[in-house]
Amino acid sequence: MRRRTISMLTALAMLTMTMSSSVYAETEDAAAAENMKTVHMGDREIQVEVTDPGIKGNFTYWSCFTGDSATWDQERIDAFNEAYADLGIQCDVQFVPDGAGINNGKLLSALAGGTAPDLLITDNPTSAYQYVAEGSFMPLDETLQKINLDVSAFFDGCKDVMYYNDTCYLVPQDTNVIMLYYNPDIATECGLDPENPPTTLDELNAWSDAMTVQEDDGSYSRFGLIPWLDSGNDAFVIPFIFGANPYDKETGKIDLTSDQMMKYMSWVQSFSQKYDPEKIGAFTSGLGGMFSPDHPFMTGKVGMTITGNWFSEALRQYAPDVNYKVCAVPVPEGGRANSTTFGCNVFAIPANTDPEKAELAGLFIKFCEQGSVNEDNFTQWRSIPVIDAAFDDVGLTKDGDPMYLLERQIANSPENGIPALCAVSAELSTQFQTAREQVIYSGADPQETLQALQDTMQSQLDAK
Amino acid sequence: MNNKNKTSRMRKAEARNGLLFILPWIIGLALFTIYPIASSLYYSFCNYSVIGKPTFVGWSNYTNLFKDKTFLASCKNTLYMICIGVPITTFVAVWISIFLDSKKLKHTGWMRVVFFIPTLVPTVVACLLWIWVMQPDTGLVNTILGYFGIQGPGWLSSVKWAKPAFILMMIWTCGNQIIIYLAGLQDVPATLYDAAAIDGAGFFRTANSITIPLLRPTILYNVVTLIIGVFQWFAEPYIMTEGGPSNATMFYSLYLYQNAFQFFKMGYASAQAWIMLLVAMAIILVLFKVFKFNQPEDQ
Repeated sequence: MRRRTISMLTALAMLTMTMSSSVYAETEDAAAAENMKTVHMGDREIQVEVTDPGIKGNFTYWSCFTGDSATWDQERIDAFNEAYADLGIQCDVQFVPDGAGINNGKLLSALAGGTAPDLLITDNPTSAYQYVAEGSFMPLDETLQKINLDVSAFFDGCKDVMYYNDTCYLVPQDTNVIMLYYNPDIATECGLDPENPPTTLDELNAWSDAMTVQEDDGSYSRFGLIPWLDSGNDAFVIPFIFGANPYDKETGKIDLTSDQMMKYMSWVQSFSQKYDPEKIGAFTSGLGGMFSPDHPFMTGKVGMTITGNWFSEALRQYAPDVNYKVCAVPVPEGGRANSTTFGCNVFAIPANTDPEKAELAGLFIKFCEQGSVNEDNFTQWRSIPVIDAAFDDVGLTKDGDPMYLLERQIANSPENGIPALCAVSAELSTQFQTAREQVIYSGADPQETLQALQDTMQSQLDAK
Repeated sequence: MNNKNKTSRMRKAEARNGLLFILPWIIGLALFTIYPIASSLYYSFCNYSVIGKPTFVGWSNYTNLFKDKTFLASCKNTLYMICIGVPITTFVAVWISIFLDSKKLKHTGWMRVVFFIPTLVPTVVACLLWIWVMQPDTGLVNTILGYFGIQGPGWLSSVKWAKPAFILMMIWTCGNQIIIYLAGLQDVPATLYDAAAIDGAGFFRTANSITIPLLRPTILYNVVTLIIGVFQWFAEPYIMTEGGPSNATMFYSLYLYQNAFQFFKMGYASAQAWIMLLVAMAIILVLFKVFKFNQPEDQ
């Protein structure tokens, strides 16, 4: 009898708990549903979450975007303003080219003069990180907590740029992955199997040699690969994938002379020794760089190039007939296979921003992290979300796009990161590019050149 | 005595009123010219990132500059432009002006316009145009060289040819100097040409013995402004090469800008600016001496 009573009581308790929890879940869902709003973004309608902070006002926002991206950002801002119009919150945008003024001194002047915006987004996380180290940006932990934006699930590789001395200062909007683009038609023409792209450095070199065509007069009509062709301002992308760690946060030491870095430099130098760098230069000094129809990959003058997911959009726009495939960047022994550096667009709130404005700016950051807002960005540029789970909601994933699946696979590598972030990152990056050019064009000794640079930069870092 | 006092009072009042009239300008000069100059001199002795407070470091910015390989490369490149680019541009501009001023040539009016037009093109547009003109494969320069069987270099991507490419661009934009030389040529007395003609002097003899010596003050002015322009040479390398390849086009102002606005080293950049000022002054003083500025022709 007693046992029956106990079992009945237990069953009753479980039923009550189940019912109450389901009621709680329903209430939570209902609350979330109440916060959802339909707004216009461009010519489509999207569902967005709206958070009421209990304060009203405007905030100023500097956007680094230009061209199509600026149009997209304007649509995003219009959507935000529509969503928050009832709450009396508005974003006032100013488009400031060259990384939201981070690359040309405009932001520096504004910070010094007290006219900085309340929020900015820049495509130069390396320089943004140096601004953080100089104390120019506001710590965001408190703001993120207030607006209930959880960044703990962001990819670990992105956290390299987010945190400085264990405090969050920068929030990535999205991120990118680096891959090897190759032309399968050229590969087939050269007797290579486009379904089995190179995975090691030796295989990559073999592919490059096979694709290179030298004419009778000694000139080259096609190169297989020019290692530095699309490296641009991302100085440490390939060295990092090759396994180098240009800066160790734990010890505070710059390391430009590691074996992996030397492997990278020797590899680059082998190309400049094999082919006259000025002849290679004839291919690389194009008018519009990556976003122009005279990019050598588009004109068939190179068979492969190492660059980010955004290049697929350039190919779509300027060379829709060029056939291409992608794979992870091949690496030497000890390299980070199937990995990438994360190239992020990062949000930052300048130091000394009014706390209420900072909270409103935080709301905008939260708004921009939503999948529905980023969908166009992901579809057009094949950028990727900063959280793995968010991939599931992206149209390209739902459509089973093979390139996007590969991007997701690479994005989940535990070895990903953003290299060389330190208090002298901007100068280190610039000087490293110059050192690389000295090795390529002037035949400088890599070990000697990089040792000298390492010593100079380390002394500058130590003086900070 | 009374009259003297009255005059003195009037002069004082006049001086006071005069000062009051020019006071807005004096305030502007003090705030926007003298104060920044004095600040930059102070910052040149400081470690200053613009955002933080400056800390005094003595002469270390100056001494560190002379150990900085990029700074030394920028000095070398700037000197190259002064020693090679400026004389070539001056030579071309002077001779074009002399030809355009020649009475023997007809319809030179439209040619003057042709030479002047490039100076009206905005710098950014001119830079983009020249990137295209210097294209190794399809650029205008290499195409023309190709007609003569010469395979042109990869101008802007070549350590050896990047600076000459900038000299070519400098020559293309010498229209302003041509206009000034043409104005200077109007001051050369026609009687001297008549006398030279009677003596049987040809075109080149007249130009070498009369025109160029009498054009000396104009040449000095143009050379000085060109040299100052080379020290300020920024937009072109910034847009076209960003100082590369391998620092071959890293000119003085470009590196100064990088230090000040990209590397947070405003103190270091200020020291660089003061060195530039002193060197430019020294070069100009030497030029004044060489060109015998303010001295009569017979000395």
